[in-house]
Amino acid sequence: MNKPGEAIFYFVGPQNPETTKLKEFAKSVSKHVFQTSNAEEIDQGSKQIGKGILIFSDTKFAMNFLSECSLPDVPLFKCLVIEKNGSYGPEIMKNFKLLGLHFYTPKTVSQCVEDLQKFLVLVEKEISADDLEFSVNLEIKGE
Amino acid sequence: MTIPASLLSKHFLVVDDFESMRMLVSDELRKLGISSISYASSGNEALQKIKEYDQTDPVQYVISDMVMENGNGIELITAIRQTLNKKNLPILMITSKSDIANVLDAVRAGVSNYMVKPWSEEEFIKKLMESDK
Repeated sequence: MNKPGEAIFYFVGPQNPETTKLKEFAKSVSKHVFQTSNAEEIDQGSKQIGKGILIFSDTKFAMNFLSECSLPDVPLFKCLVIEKNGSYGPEIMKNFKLLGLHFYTPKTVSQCVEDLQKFLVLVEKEISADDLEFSVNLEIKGE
Repeated sequence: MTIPASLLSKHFLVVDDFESMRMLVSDELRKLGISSISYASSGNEALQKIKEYDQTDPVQYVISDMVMENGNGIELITAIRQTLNKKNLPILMITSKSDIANVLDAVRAGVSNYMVKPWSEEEFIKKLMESDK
């Protein structure tokens, strides 16, 4: 897998075992890995680096965050939502026109890391929000 | 662009309320070979650190965000220049496009130079050297 060169990772929302493991993995591919729930910080850091990868701890938090905070330059961000139950992931991605994948339950932490690796490959290929349907379908097919 | 050795050996204080922005600035400094870097997350904390370090390892260069909670950048510049009476301490202010209107206030307060986010590496080096004159 190609390393996501200059991407900055923001882990958004409460920490849980999945985010902890994913953060470990993120640190192995990028030196810019942070935990925050501040939209302005995410906006500034992502613009400085040029590519922001947001990893939301759960669907509820992602929905609330994305509804209440405005990320002005949406195509800049690639989002991943950890979803333990239900299937809100594709809906969130469509509603907010974001590229992203989501985890279905039950998945082991190592499967989550595999998903993140797949996600980063998509990010590296510069798939845009216009290709949203493709990326979501790709993940669903894989399940 | 060659960076003077005198700049490389300076003690920098990076001030920003966002951890990731502090780290991005310090990464740029480290890339240039600058290793003496301290941090503050607000204007008030920055002032406190400048005073504390005066006893041991004085801060010789300040890079600060403009808008912060608990003491913004302009208040920090004013305090450095007037309260601490550090007229020659280089201060590079980092601002976003939306706050550009406040740059004049920063200049009046005594800022050495300013840089707009996001910045390029070339611009960062240029501004760093200009502010040190």
